[in-house]
Amino acid sequence: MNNHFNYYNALNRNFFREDLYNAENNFSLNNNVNNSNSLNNILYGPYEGFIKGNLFKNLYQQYKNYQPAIITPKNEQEQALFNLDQIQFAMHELNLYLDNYPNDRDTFNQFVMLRNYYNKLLMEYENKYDAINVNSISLNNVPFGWVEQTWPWDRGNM
Amino acid sequence: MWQYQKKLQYPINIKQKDLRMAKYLVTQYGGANGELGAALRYLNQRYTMPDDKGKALLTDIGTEELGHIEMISTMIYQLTKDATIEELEAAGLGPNYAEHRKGLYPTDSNGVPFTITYFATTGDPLADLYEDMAAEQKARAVYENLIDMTKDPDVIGPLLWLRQREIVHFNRFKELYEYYKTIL
Repeated sequence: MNNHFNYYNALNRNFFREDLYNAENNFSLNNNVNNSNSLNNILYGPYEGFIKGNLFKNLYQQYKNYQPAIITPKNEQEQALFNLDQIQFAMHELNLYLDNYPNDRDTFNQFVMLRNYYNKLLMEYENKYDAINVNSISLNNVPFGWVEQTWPWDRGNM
Repeated sequence: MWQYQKKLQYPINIKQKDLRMAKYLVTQYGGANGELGAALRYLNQRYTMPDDKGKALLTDIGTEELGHIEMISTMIYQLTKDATIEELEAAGLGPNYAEHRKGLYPTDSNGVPFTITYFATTGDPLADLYEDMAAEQKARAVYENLIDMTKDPDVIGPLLWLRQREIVHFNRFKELYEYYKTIL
């Protein structure tokens, strides 16, 4: 299985490099030495999990010799949205897992870290670019940005 | 209730019009194994799950499937939006244009409209979850058929990703099924 996927290249291109670096150390996968039941061996990092569509190493099934698409943001906003997508996806994957195993404390702790990070990224994104949610406090003037900001199927990018 | 998030779950940016592929892809919108059927099936079955785990899992996977409807719809829209009437007719989409212009309409790839029989709910949690596991496998197989039918990386990327989601969902349903087998 190809595990390389330019994770570190992606980080090098990343406008929020520091944040993702922290995210990787916190959520993913390296240094929970005190945790004998470490999730590090179980989960892909947010980037690799996202492009694969599967955060769980034991569940990933490659199709023929197709590799996941490498997503290349073209500007700062696309990169910020891509970061949001990655963290939200990882959070969602743990959410589905926790639905079946609600007492799994390690997974829950990872979920909380991702959630906190997601909320921070979301607020930054909405304040700097477009509203993701209609209840965003970034929507504070006319014309009503919810209407004016491009709809996802028309973006022609991310 | 639901609140919309104004973004796709996974980015889609198809640059090449492809009416042939749009005609096949629509089955993952309105076909028996498509995303619309999956979303409605799970969201409909969740009320009669025997405990809160089942209610949670069917709600959360059903909600994700709503996002997949949006992804498939976006793909069909982007594959067809620049087509002329003549091109649509040449691709066998003339009848579709006559009925729906370029409006999206959930059918399978033969043009058979979506039907609620695809819900397939029995009210028996074990039977319903087994149905859901089968549905995920069938959708995975259809995604593989579709991947085999195109060379466009803008189309293959999202299809590979959606295929992988079927695998994850299948496994979560299976875990719940195995658990219910021990308690019911």
